Amino acid sequence: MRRVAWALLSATLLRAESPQVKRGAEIFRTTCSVAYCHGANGTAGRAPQLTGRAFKAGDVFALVMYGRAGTSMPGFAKQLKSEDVEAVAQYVVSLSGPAPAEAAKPGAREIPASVREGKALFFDAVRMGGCGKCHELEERGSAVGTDLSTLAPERFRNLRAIQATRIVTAKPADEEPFPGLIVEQSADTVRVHDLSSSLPVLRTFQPAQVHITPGGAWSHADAVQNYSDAELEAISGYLVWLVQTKP
Amino acid sequence: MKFLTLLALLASTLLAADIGTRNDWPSYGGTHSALRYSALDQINTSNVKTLAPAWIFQTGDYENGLQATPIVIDGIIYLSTSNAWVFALDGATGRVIWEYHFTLGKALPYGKQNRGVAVGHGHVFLGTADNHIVAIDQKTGAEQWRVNVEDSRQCGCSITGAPLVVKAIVVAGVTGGDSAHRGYLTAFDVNTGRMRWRFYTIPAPGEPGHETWPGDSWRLGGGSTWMTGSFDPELNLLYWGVGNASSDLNASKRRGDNLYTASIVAIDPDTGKLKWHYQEVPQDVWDYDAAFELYLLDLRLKGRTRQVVMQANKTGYVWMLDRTTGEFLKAWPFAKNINWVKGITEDGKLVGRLDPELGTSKLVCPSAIGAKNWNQGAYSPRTRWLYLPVQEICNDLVARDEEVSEGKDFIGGSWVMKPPPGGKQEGYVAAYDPLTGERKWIFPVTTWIMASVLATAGDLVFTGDPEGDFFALDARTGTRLWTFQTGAGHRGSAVTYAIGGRQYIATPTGWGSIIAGAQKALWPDAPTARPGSALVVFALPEVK
Repeated sequence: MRRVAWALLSATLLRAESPQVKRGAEIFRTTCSVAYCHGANGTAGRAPQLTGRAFKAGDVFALVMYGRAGTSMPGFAKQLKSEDVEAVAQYVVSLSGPAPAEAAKPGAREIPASVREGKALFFDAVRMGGCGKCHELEERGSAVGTDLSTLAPERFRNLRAIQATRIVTAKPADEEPFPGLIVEQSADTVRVHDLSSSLPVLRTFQPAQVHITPGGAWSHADAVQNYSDAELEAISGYLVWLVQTKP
Repeated sequence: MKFLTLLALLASTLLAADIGTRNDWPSYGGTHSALRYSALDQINTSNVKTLAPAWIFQTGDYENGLQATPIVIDGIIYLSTSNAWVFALDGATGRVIWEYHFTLGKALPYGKQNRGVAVGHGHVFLGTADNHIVAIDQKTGAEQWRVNVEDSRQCGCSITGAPLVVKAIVVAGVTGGDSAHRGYLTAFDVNTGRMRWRFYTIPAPGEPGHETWPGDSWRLGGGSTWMTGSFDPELNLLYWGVGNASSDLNASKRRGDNLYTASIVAIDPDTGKLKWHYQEVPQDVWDYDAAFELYLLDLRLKGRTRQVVMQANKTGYVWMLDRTTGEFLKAWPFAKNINWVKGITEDGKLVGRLDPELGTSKLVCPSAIGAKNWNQGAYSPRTRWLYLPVQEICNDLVARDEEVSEGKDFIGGSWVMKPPPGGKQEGYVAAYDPLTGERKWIFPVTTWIMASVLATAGDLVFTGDPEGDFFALDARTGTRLWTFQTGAGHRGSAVTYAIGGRQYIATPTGWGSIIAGAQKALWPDAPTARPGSALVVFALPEVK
């Protein structure tokens, strides 16, 4: 409640303080409110309501400039100077409500501050995607390894000690063997992830070109060696939160 | 004296033969020197008027036009489309030998774009708009390996440029300069797909150059590598152009030079380690990039033969460096309308910058589309001139404070394309002497040239326009000698090759790409540039 009040207050302050937003409001009234469109203060005529939404100024700017094909929304590039369009964009942004876009998305949960760091570490770009190189969660990362969202929270207690069960050894003709994860093994195709590379490689073979045996020289401890104990603990916290709050 | 002249002439002819393509078009820029020059001269100024279509191949992929450079090896053409389909075609007949269709994911941060494949060691390499690198069997079209280079949903990045095969690795760049992303180059083993190295274009804490980024700005500071580099096998150096810093137009959170954005980097291909760098635009606030093609050539400058790397880019300038050391040699303007700087000193310093400001609009030339876009120029060692597709367009820039969020848009302002002050927007092909910067001739077009240029030993320069005309100019005079209407706009790169002693010219046709929409805003009265997706191949009529 306090956050909502603050957001309303800051929106009001912004509107009151910025000459740019003021100018935007003026142009809005003479341009966007007219002809059944967005209503007096963005509260909607026949066109969409603009209040209480999460707009970015850049998106609004582009939309006002060039319009949206296939809808009634025209482009104003010819009528308005770019600084006026910018002012309109800032005004529309000032109408935005406190609703975070993330929480509004179906299936998405607002992530508590306590596990935010763990999530950032899990998908750390500085570590070339970190755990996300092999695990896909919340529409991020690559689905190479196990789907972690299906596991029990106890499994995340010690991320170094995790025993991988599906690892194989793939021995292609004329190549050294490598530890892998099978994606497909049929009469005419073998598709296997090569886990020996910093970025997993999905290899495709004809069955005669590769020999597959169970087990392999790969450990989860090696895969997570770039993380400190404290970092792994934070990642565990994120994973436990994720599976415990699963809808 | 005469003998010496003859020797010099002979030497330059040999050089010309060396750096041009012949029967094949083996690499994105022709050879790894990226001159887009062919030593083939069967089609030349005296007979080009009889040039006629030999065959046409329709890809069936009408998404975003056909932007690729076809690769040609041993009479077989390897062509990719925006949806990441790859075709192997018989270069004499257009017959399909195999085709491969990659299935793109849903997150395509810069839309469906593809500028071509690389071929080597029995593989065809494809970069994808959802950020995969894929190896396909050159003989059968079967997929051999693929790597998800970075999750495109997270990074807001993709691969749209053609990869480059260097020795036993294939190197892929990445887009993302207009997103909150940290750019890099990645090298993979050609046979196994295993990562050999990664070079980040923004140094991490503790690395030299990191001090040019305040706070955490280095983490998502841009520096994409969205076009294709060049390679000098003798120096064993890989050259790549690095794009703009992010956010594009607002440097308030990244005060400093922002290395190695808007720079040319030279990398040891065996280790991925930086050998030298040269930054063209410190603290880029105009989306000027330095991502475009790098011409490798030897030029006599101030009485010395220099091994040069040369780049013409969005800034309206041609930059010339010593490619052994990165030493700045020269920068000269090729566009008429430049005001982002008042000039560049003899040692490469920018003078009188016109930086965008928060909330106030400024007319800056050239625009973020550039005095030249990614479509490539060509250099002929016969005329010793550089041929560039140029447009004179400016933009109203206004900077904006923007929240940074990994993988999301990170422009930091807005640009509105405008004509130059007191004039109107125009496009042309022009020839320049790189030693003096002198413009030798200019060939104006109705709108602009968004296709690459091809130069040949037949003293011809080929390119195409958005209205669908594909044409040949006399390389020495700029006179148009031949035109063919292909029925769709040109946004790709023409190549030439020979099979059984017969020379062919092949051009992709089909309008598209990110800037395609801007055409209507800039030239509202011009005919609509037609989409399409075909490879149109020409040859001289066969003598019976």
